[in-house]
Amino acid sequence: MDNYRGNDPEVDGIFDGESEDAWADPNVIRRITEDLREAYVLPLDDATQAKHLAAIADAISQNASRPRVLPLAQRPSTDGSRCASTFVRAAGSARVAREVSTASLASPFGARAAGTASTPGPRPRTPLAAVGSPPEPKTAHVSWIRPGAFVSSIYSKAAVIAAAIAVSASGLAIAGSLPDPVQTAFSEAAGAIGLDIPAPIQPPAVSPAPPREQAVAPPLLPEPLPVIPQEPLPVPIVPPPAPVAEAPRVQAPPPAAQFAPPAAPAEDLQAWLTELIRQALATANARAMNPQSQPEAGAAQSGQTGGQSWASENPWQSYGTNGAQTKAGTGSGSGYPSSSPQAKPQSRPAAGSSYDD
Amino acid sequence: MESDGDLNEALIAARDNVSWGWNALYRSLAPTVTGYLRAQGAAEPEDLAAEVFVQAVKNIKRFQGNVTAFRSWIFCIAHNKLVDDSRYRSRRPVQPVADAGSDRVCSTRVEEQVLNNLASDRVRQMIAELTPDQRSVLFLRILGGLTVDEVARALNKNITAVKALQRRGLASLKKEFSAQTVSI
Repeated sequence: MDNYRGNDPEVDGIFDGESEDAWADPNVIRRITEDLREAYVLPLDDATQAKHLAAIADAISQNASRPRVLPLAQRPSTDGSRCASTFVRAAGSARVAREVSTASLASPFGARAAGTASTPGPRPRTPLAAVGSPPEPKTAHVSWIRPGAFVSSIYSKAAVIAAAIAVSASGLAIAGSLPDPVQTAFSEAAGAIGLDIPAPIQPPAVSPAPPREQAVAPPLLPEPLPVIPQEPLPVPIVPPPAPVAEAPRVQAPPPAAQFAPPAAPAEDLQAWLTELIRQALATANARAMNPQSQPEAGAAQSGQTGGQSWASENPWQSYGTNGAQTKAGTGSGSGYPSSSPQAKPQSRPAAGSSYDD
Repeated sequence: MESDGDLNEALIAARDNVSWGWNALYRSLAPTVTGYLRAQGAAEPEDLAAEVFVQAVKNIKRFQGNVTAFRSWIFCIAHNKLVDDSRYRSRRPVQPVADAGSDRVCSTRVEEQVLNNLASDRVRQMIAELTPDQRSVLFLRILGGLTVDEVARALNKNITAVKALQRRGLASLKKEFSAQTVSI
């Protein structure tokens, strides 16, 4: 046997007692086979056979009485059971589909699901739960869960995931690495049960930010400047006609502050210009009414003083005459504005007289 | 023992839930099935054999094949029932109680019983040296009359593994048989 290298038919022959060789001692195996069969394969007595055949007959009768489940395509659909079961099966429940196909619920529900075009069935007035047999009380069934069923169920996986999340969240909370709101919630919840979990570090108090409208929209226009009440400009005192020999009276210049350009550019500047024009017109009228009162020298002086006063009244004009004053240092300039055609010829002797002094 | 042709007709009748078909199949296969269960150490081999055939009746719609395949299928069911029974009994151990009637029956044929017991003891000593897999393979080959392919299907093993188990089992049986012959 130890040196046996025969094939399976030879072994089959040995087992059957037909092989004479191909083994060191086939008779040994034959005897072993016969001993095994004699020891274990025994004919059954009649009582045992009758009992077994009765059990088989019961199984056959149960097998025959069991309703044969036809495929869905072969089921009769006169009561709409096929449509009902198809509808429920499409909803994802094969078990309910089987129940619907066999229960009395199939008729109204199947008719509705089918929506038979020719003669739609009447709508059931009774609730669907009352159509079938009354449900059995739940206490009649004792649910028994296998020991390993929970391990392989979805609930166990969900429980494991929840436990992992809880452990990791607790670790992060102890380490203080959670976001501030969550860390605060954890700290408060743990503090309620006596655990010490650090709360998030609060930043120093900062004044609340202004509302968005105030912060975003700066005023486009400057605040209106306080209105300075302007006194009406005094009408230039026109000297009465004096004798020629008298020295002309020098017209007192108006206070500089009164003719200073306003700081505000818009309304004040307009009012200031209007008043300046009105004053210039009044001066021109006064000169037109007394043409003899302005002698040549007096006119020069008055022109000089008028030029100075005008320049002082109009700083822009004085700014424009700076160059003329610079030229005056060379003996050719005067204080009159260059735009005045009448003042220029009159300024030359005045300038000369002034230099003579 | 009926021929395979008769058993094929019986199998066709059994598929239609006809009683005589099942009776013929039972009378042909029940002794070997019971012997296999008994050799494997089943506590109630007759009852277990009945359960095997009842299970076959319930699942006959799933079966496809001839008598040879049916024989292999029956032994596959028997093997599974044996495993289930051993697991059940391991969870709920039962202490056997001596039956008073068995002594009266044995007393009528004492000599025959003694010889059977001697043969059974010698065979039990031989098969005690086998591993469970070797025992299953050899019992299915010797008692059930299955081929290597059928044994492989019944035990859910590949053919090479079944051949190896068979070879080692036979070598162990020969060794034990030779030792017993020398001692006798």
